Amino acid sequence: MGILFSRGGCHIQGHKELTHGKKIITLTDPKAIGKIYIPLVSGNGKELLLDIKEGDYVKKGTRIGVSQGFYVPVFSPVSGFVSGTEKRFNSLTGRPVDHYVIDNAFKYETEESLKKYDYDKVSSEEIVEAIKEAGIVGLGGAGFPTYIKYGAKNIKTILINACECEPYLTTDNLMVVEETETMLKGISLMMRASQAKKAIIAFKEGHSDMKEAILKYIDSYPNIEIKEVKDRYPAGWERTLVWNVFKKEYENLPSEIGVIVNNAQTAMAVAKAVLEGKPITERVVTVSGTAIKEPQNIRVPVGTVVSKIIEACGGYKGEQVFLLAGGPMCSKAQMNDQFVVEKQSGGYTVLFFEEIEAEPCLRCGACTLHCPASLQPVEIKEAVEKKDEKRLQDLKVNSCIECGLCTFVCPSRIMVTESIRKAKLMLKIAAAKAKAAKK
Amino acid sequence: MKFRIKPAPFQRSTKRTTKGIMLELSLVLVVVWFVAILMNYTLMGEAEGTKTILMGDVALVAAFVTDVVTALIIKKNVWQYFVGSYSYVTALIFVLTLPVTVSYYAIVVGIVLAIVFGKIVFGGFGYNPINPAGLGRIIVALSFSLAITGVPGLVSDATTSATITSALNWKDGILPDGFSLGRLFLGNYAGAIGETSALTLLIAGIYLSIRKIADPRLMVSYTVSAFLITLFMGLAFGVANPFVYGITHILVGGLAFGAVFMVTDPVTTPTSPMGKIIFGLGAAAITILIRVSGALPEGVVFSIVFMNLLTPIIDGLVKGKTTDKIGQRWGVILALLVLAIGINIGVAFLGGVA
Repeated sequence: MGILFSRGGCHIQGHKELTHGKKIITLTDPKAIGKIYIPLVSGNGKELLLDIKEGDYVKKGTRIGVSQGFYVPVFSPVSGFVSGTEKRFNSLTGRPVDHYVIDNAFKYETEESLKKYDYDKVSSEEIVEAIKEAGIVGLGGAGFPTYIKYGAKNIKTILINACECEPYLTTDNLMVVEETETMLKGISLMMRASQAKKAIIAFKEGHSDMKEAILKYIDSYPNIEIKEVKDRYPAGWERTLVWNVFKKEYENLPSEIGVIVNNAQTAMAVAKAVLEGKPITERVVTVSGTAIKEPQNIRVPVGTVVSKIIEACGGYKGEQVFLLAGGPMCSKAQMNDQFVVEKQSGGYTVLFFEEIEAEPCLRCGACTLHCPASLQPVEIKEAVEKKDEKRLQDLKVNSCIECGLCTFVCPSRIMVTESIRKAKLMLKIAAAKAKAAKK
Repeated sequence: MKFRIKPAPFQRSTKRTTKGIMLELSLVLVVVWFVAILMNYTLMGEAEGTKTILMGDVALVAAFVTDVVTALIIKKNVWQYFVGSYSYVTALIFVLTLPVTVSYYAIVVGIVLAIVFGKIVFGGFGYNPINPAGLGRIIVALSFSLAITGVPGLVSDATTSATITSALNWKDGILPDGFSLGRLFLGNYAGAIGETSALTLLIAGIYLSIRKIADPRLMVSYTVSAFLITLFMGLAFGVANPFVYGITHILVGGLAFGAVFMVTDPVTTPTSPMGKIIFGLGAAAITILIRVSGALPEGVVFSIVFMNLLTPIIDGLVKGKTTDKIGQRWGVILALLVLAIGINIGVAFLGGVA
């Protein structure tokens, strides 16, 4: 923190101990998993272009379709008949969308539709092609197609994000320990794909299990280093992480300073896609929080209904809960538990319902001093109350990443982050109106 | 099973609440009050010591009664309203800005008007544009000037019949006989009950900064600006020791009290780090202007209340991110400092003070 500015962040309680010490369990019982549902809409809200139709038999790994906009193929996670189409709530788009219903045959017959490559011989172009065809997306939660990042030139360093700064979630941590070699191989492939000379695996200090696991294998990977960063939320946000590791800023993308940032589990997915020709068909998710009976990490097929996973964790405690698709800082509360596991889902947090009463704003500026985007949340909140669009433009509202820290630190318990979401909406509406007026 | 909806985040810091901050602040104020009581007992006498106790009690009771009556009029739960209005903080700050000679009548009128016209008419705590304690102090200064001037001197210094701020000649900065910087620092002289010990206030300021209850940017900007402005004025006036002249200015007359407890009121000051520094600088410039060239002996409270009114403008000037244009922002601060020094020296010469 400087005298005039702040890069924000603060330590927040991680609650990771609820699931960190437990082994990952795999859900295999057919009854416990049930039918599999594949949303026919991608995260951007556009419908998939479908390869198969209702009634077709699919195997694990059969391509179901491909998204519009960015090219991302979607694969069946299990084998069985596509028995129909059903509307279900979708956590990515926040609305009900059509899903294919796959009657899981529990035979796990596999279709090997993707090419496999030899680790020693695979070329840069082949790696990017394999990542693209396997539909690999950022597994840290954003779900951005990974191959797009590898179109950038002059990349010097691959930065692997294993910070997992959302409280409660532990999948990245446990997966790094469990599949260390796969991750390191993936990182090597990513370096080759981008022609980067170096890779850095960054995680929060104090995670000795990850450190030990990586150090055990790292001698075989001379260009991969580890870097421990301070446990200050949001340590895993791309800009914060790049600043903490390189002390550099960038305008839009980290590739401007020669860096590609990828999640640790994305690296594992890259290795599996390139070397084994496997798309992402299963996912380890953390189910944790104060209002779940047995918090744990659980491996399930992509497309499993969340209520089934909750059942496998002993069910809910209490009668009124918040069910969050992700950690408690950034994730939306869901209206029911009938949505499905997406490949980028890191976990689900279940918390007791509570109402928090706000006091008037003290104008203390704690939000400004903690904002990792260096914004002035209190000023944005006041401008929203005054409906001052000019001021909102001046305050660079759209740089906000909705990390939730302004609400977190507010001593008056005001939902500051929500004001900023309102501000973004106001600017969006104003821009649309201006556009309409021009026509 | 009922799934409830609320915007993220769902985790909150459990460390700090506004109630906790205000309670801790008032405890610090009580400590300062206690030091004032002790000093008045030992240095002035039993009557003054007892008066200091009663002054605070009268202010707190008057503030409490004002809250109760307000809660009854606007039909709110009396206890909840009292707990959320923080009038006790206003009462403590207000009473500590008054000298021991003040009448109880003036205290009651001051605090009631401060709470009603400084806070309630604007919608209560959090919505007041100016420091309510500052407003109360101004009302007392303008309406009861006889009650607060003519402060008796210390027992050991019976000949001094005015506060040091009115006794001190601001243009040459020569301290009255028997006064030294060390004595000013420890607070062995007459003045408002809360302002007299710079040492106590320094400790309070450091404590509040460490506990993040008050922003040190405001305190430091205010005191350092006041020192720099008077240092250069001292040079321009040709005083014997400009450095001592500057130090004298920040040690006396409630400047330290204002720096720790009034400039730092978050509700009425800018929210951004840049804004806070400009606020402190502006308040310092006006304080010195009133002291040296103005008709009043003291300008701390007036300057702070005046700057409170400029707070929305200062907030509006600080655009974008706090990391934007750092160099340019320091340039603006430096330019404003030079301007503040220039205006103070210029007005002093033009007004024939120097």
